[in-house]
Amino acid sequence: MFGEFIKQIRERQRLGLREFCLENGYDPSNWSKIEREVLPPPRDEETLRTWAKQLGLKPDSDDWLKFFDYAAVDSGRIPDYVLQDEKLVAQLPVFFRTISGQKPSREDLEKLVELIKSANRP
Amino acid sequence: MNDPRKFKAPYNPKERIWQEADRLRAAHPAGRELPVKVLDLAEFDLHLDLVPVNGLCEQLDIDALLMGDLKSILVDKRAVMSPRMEYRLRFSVAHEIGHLILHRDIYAGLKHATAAEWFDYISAIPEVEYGWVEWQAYEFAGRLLVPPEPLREAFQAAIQSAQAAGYSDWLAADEAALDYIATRIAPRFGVSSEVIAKRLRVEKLWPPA
Repeated sequence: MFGEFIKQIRERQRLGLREFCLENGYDPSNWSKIEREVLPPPRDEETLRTWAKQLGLKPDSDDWLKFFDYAAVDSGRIPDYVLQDEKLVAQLPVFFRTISGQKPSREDLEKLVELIKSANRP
Repeated sequence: MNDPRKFKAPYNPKERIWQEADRLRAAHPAGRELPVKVLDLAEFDLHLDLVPVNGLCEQLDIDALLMGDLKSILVDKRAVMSPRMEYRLRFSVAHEIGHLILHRDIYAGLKHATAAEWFDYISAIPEVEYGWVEWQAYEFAGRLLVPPEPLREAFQAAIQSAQAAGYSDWLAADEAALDYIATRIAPRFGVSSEVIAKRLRVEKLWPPA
């Protein structure tokens, strides 16, 4: 709910993840986890106010109120810590370009599975 | 599941790849700007999540990869954060968009029950077919980020400027001259000079007539 909402806000303004995080000094991995609802929103009111302003929300507008409502609902949510095997397998990539142009080894593939899991872990 | 040893890369001649890249660029405002706003194209027009992770480049020598569900691109976090790596990130994301556009059917046709099955499948794909698929995505990325007409214009302007500076003899067809020209042109397209040098050859602008 909250993650999806803040992503929509960014999309509406065509404010890229990279651009937004660089401008505001956020870690893009964590921001992406919040948008994908792997991490819950913060409980701290001050932090939420800062985020709302950085996302261009006007105080007391509909979006502003929704932002705080959704944060309140989701901040108590316990995220799913474990990426279900079925979902993980569906996400596994097929082709990838190593910088040196090599096809990845089996060991690389195993590391990759761990990285994908880490992207889906709080 | 098909036998991966019999995997054949789809037949995608250069002309078809170019057509697809040109079509995508023309279809979205983010594609009609220079440099092409490829990250916006991915996030907002193709609705792909960009998912930054630590260590993708460091551990696996990979900047970005399209996930099998075709909904997100895993990107190296350092590449996202470092202005110095911006051109590389842009090219890598364009490359993954190439897989999405050109190889969607392959992804759709692969269903693995377990990660172990996936390991076996990927490992058994013949190197030459794998390389051919990668070449197609590479060609797509180059054409997407470096549209031919602006490249031609930028190339002519760079040649004229070099000639005005007295470099006419040197320009014959020297590799150093190509590097000089490519370096001047690259920032306009937001790619490395290596990408521009490659595009100048592929688009048959280099060596100059």
